[in-house]
Amino acid sequence: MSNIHVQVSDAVITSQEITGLLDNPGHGAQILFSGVVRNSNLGRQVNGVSYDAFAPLTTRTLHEICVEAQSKWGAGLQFHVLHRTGLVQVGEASLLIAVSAPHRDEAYKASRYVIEQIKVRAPIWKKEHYIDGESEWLKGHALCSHPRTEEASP
Amino acid sequence: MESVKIQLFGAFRKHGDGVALELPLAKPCSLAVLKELLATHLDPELLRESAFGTTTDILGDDAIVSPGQTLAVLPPVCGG
Repeated sequence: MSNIHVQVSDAVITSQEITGLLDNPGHGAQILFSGVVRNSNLGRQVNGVSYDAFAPLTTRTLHEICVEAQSKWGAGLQFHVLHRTGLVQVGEASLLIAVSAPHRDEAYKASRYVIEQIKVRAPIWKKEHYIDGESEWLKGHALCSHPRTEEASP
Repeated sequence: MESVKIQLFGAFRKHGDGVALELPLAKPCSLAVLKELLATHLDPELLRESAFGTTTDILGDDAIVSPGQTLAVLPPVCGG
């Protein structure tokens, strides 16, 4: 089985399902990061968030980010990354990143690297829906054709 | 005349949700030129901040776009 599994999907998946995929008996550390839709943003009450993604390029970008993390913290690190599309309700996970590594230090660092890179590199957009019935696409980070972000280096 | 198809995402969906924009293009041109052509069809301010991509790469302004090609216009991103 490959050490990197990424998915962009409108299907709900639980944290138990994704951590259950981490199966390396030589790894003593597992980190699960869940990005969860919260009920307010910039003073406005939020009902939910719709996620839009350019799926083929997002999948490729997520995989590329995980490969970079392996090159920094160990080729054997295992990654399962899922990003939701479509409407995600308050309290539901929009993003799950599960990482396993021999030791906690590289697991924490790799997990942090993956989420920070996703924020600025993955072609994903979110539209917030507010309790007053309005909706708004959120502003984000401009993409460029040189995707590596050196500030995230260890 | 041949054309290029531009897939719309995020805030650009207001210009056509789920429908690619088709722009007439008779001969290859740079992405920078294509952006100028698109400025009359899409929100110009958002277009200035946006990148263009294929299913595998994000393109630089000097990339050559050919008739028949499909591209995606990618506004600033905010995943997670």
